[in-house]
Amino acid sequence: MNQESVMHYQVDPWNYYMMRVRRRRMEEEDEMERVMRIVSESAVVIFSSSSCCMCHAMKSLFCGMGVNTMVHELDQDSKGKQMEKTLMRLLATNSTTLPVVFIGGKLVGSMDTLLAFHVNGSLVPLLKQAGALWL
Amino acid sequence: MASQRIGEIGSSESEPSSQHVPYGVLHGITTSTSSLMNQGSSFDFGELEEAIVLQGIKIRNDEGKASLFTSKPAATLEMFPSWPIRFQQTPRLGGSKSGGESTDSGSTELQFDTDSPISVKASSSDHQNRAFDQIQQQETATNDVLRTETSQNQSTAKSYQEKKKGASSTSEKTLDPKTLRRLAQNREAAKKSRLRKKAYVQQLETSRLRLANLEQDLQRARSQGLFMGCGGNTSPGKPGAAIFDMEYARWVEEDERQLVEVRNGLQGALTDNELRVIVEGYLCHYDELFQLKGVAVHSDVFHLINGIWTSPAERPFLWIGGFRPSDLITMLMQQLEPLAEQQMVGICELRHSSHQAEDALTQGHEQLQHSIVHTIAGGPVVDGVQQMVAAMAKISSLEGFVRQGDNLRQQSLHQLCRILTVRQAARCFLIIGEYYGRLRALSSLWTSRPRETLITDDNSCQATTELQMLQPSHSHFSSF
Repeated sequence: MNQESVMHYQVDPWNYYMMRVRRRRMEEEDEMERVMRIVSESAVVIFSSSSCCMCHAMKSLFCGMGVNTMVHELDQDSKGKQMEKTLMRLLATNSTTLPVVFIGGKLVGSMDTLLAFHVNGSLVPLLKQAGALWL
Repeated sequence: MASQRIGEIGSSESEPSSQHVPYGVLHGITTSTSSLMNQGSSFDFGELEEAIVLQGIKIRNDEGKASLFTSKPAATLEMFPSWPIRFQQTPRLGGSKSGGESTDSGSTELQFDTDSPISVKASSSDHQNRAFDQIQQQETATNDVLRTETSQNQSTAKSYQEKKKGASSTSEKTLDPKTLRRLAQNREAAKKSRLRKKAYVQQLETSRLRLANLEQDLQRARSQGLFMGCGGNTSPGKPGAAIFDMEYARWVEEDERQLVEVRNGLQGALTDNELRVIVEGYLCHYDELFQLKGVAVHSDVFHLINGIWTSPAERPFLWIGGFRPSDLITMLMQQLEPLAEQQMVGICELRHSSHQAEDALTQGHEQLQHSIVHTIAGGPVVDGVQQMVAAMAKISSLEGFVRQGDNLRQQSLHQLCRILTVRQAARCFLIIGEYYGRLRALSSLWTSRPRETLITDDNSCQATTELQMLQPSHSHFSSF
């Protein structure tokens, strides 16, 4: 395959470039699939970093509400960097966005969106709907 | 002024000994011409005279003054047809002669001007001397005179002095009406130019003062920036704090204005729609504050956190760079007593959720503080630069916390407005505004308190009653 690709490069650079692009897209799709797989495993999934204090705040918020969350520490994951990039792409932002929370398999967002939802009273129904909260 | 000159020259001719100069131009001309006819020795004066007259025409036409004289100069021109016109030589020779001339200078640019727009006393005496001495240098003398006359920049004080001196000698002459009129016009012109000069000087003075004030303000702002930047930074380093302080002060003024508007709106019989406009305006006003803080957080997070930008009395209640939403809501609940059932429920829920969010943020914030302490304290294997880099990263997380705190405050206010009716929301803003107004008033009372007396309970009650004179209700201090 490598030799083929080298020959392709020598013969047809455009095709080679397109192949690279396609491969990267497939990887990205893989990543996305992986993320989606992870978030569907649990009602509330937090992508965080063990050294980030805002992540700690988010975890405490859910704890205080009595919600069990699944926390994915990206700095302890081998593919953490790629997942972080995927998340950034999902949130359409260029800055590091941790923590990111998914409720019921759907993207909620970063800390500010979560707080906004909580304050305007839409977080609790969402949690109940996802089965993370019973009361 | 030219006419004046001419007059002076004329008089100096006829009265060589006198140091004073008369006003009458025509008079001067006639006397000079007559004296010319009579004396015959002052050939140069005749030429002088003509040149003077011609220049006088030019000047007067330039100034746009009504000419009584336009005819006259023509007449005088005809009297000396053979003598050439001299004034175009003036500019060339002006430079050569200015050194020798009297050096009174009210005005500036032209060398002509330095010959004394109107320190004629000296120049006239000079003319006298020169006229007698320089029969050969008649041209230059002419040009001198021309120069002195062509100078139009008024050093009006000197002209006034000179005119005064002139006036005394005028009385000795026979005053025909034209002379009188010319004298009067000269006087007016001189007065006008004096006033103009005074106005200009005043303008200069005021702008000088303003410049000094601006520089002071600038320096103060810069030094404030320095102070806020913990003294370690260079001067252009932290203007963000000073800028934020200024913007905040403006916001507070705007706040007071909006408060008055809300109060009037509530007391007046406004419709709900009009009140809604006011309420939304107030909400936008708060949004502006959060926006300001968002910008300031990026430039100087420590300034926002230490709360120096708030009044002293607000500082104990500061939570991550601002008010604590649940406390505000608690206060409001007490004031807004007649609430409908669902509104009560809504507000309680809001208070509960903001309380939870506050706790979460507080925990995260504490953890951050511990980690900063740990980073700065360092360990046995921590490298200096690495330590600093890590500490800087923590500080940027601190920014994140202040941002989330402001976000929480903003969301709480918006939710409050959603839950309440328009009228209740307006009352809410009124209460909040009055509350902070009282806190600020308390701060200023406290900072201006007499240092010797202890603030006993009685005194503090007095303070509260004083404040109550400002606003009617007084339940706030009991609740806090």
